[in-house]
Amino acid sequence: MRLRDTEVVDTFAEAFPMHGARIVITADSEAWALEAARSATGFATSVIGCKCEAGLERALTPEQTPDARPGVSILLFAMRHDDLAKRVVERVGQCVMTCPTTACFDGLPAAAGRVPCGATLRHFADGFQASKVVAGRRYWRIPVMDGEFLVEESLGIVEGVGGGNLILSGADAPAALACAQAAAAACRTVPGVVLPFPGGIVRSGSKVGSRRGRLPASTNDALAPTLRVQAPRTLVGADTGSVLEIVIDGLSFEAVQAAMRAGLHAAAGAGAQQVTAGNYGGDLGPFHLHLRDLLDRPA
Amino acid sequence: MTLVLTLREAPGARVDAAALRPDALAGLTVEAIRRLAITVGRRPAAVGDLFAVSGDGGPDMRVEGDLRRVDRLGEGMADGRLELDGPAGDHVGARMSGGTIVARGDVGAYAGAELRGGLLHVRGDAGEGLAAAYPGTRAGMRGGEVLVEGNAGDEAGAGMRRGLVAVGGAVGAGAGLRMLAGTLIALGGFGPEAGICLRRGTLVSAGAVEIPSTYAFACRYRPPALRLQLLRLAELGLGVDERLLHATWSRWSGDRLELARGEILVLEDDGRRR
Repeated sequence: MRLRDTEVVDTFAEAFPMHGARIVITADSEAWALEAARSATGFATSVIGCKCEAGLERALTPEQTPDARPGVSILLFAMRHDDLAKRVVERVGQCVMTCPTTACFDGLPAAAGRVPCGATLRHFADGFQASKVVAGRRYWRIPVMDGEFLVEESLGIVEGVGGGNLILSGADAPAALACAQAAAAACRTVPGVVLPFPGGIVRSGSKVGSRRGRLPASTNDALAPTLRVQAPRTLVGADTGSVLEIVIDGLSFEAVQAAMRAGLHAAAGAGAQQVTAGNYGGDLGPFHLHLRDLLDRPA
Repeated sequence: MTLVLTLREAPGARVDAAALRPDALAGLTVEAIRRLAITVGRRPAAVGDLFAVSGDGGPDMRVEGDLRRVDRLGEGMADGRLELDGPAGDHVGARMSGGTIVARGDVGAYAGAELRGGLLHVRGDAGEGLAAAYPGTRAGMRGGEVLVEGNAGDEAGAGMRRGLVAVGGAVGAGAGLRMLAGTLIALGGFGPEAGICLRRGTLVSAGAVEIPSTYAFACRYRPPALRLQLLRLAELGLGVDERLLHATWSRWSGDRLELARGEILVLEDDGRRR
């Protein structure tokens, strides 16, 4: 298959279910909201090593936030409900509550599933906490040294989709990186998704397991250009100098699919040699995102 | 179709209209509603004797006329929408647990008393005991929202345990008396003896207030929860000046004769001096 001058491999990205939460962080300025958001989504690239995956979803204007201050929404994903509950408390407690002027709100108030947030963090107040119910939602007021940290009692969670991906090839590293940056920027325009890796791009794509058997994941030798001769089953063409991957987690299958579609078209527009996707033969994840379904231009 | 009850003429005695709530009348025919029993003074009467009835018993209901002698409208209401076109008597929306009451005139004493949920929105003034506990009971309002665009009488929010009460004008004496928790906001300020014996909870004054001697100054700051509450009030239709959202408030902690876990927030600085 071809999209402009780009070869699109007729394959699919294999994604899997994850539990996801949307956290809205507000502050007196967008800069402080971003500080908290970046901190709360740090070291959250892959559940394999970080226990959760997270990223910035989008900046919010005062008109879009519950307290009419500048804000940022972040998405946080984990494999299990219990894990997500722990990560939420850890990250909001350590990275948002600690950040000057911030407040923390539920970004999925209509979701049926809930994990505690302020309900747990209120204990930091050592008995001095107070709660307020506004429009049916309970908030905890935690006294802190710059005034009060306001945090919603619980956060809505949904069954999302993790592991949507695109793998892009270029003639050399700058060309592949330019394509990947264009694709990542396009993916980020879709609401309800995050790209948890640095800049949204992964260079150390992995395969399941390792030759020595001690690691759950190891380098994807089939896509490493330097191993084109040594790897047992290389997928790298002779004219390819660099391969990069984009990983997408989203609150729904449709959101991940829309992000992949946007990324695919942006990569092709930037001149990618080839776009493919990673899967494990279809045995691991129930969500199969076929590239052939994404060839239509994004709406 | 909205059920409309129009008062034929001002009644000669106070009317107990506790039966007039949309959730209780839902599904009844106009004829059945006309036959419903109410009392005028000590005498039994039928709704049709006092009111012209039209429409049907659906979730929406409107009562029209000079209702100052008609008490207990919407009392105990759990669902639906009740509109009062004209001044109303005492106990409007008392002990309601859900739904919305919009009163387009003044209301009498004990409006929203011991309210548990829903919204009571008064476009005029409210009498004494707004959202309060009835004499002899400990807890007043336990949830929901009460908005008064005008002024409110004495002992508003007395014994209040939970919920949000906001008054666009001034509140009389003894506001928040023995308040257990919840929030009482007076954009026009409080009369004397506000917050006496308050255990937890928040009184907010954007106007005058005498801080009782049993309170102590804590700090000046911008309370994030208050900002959220003010935005909610604006959303519900209460005129909230934008400057209040950015203002600094002084926090007074008390009542130290009780738990001292309550607070009075007083508008300190509207931000224009900075």
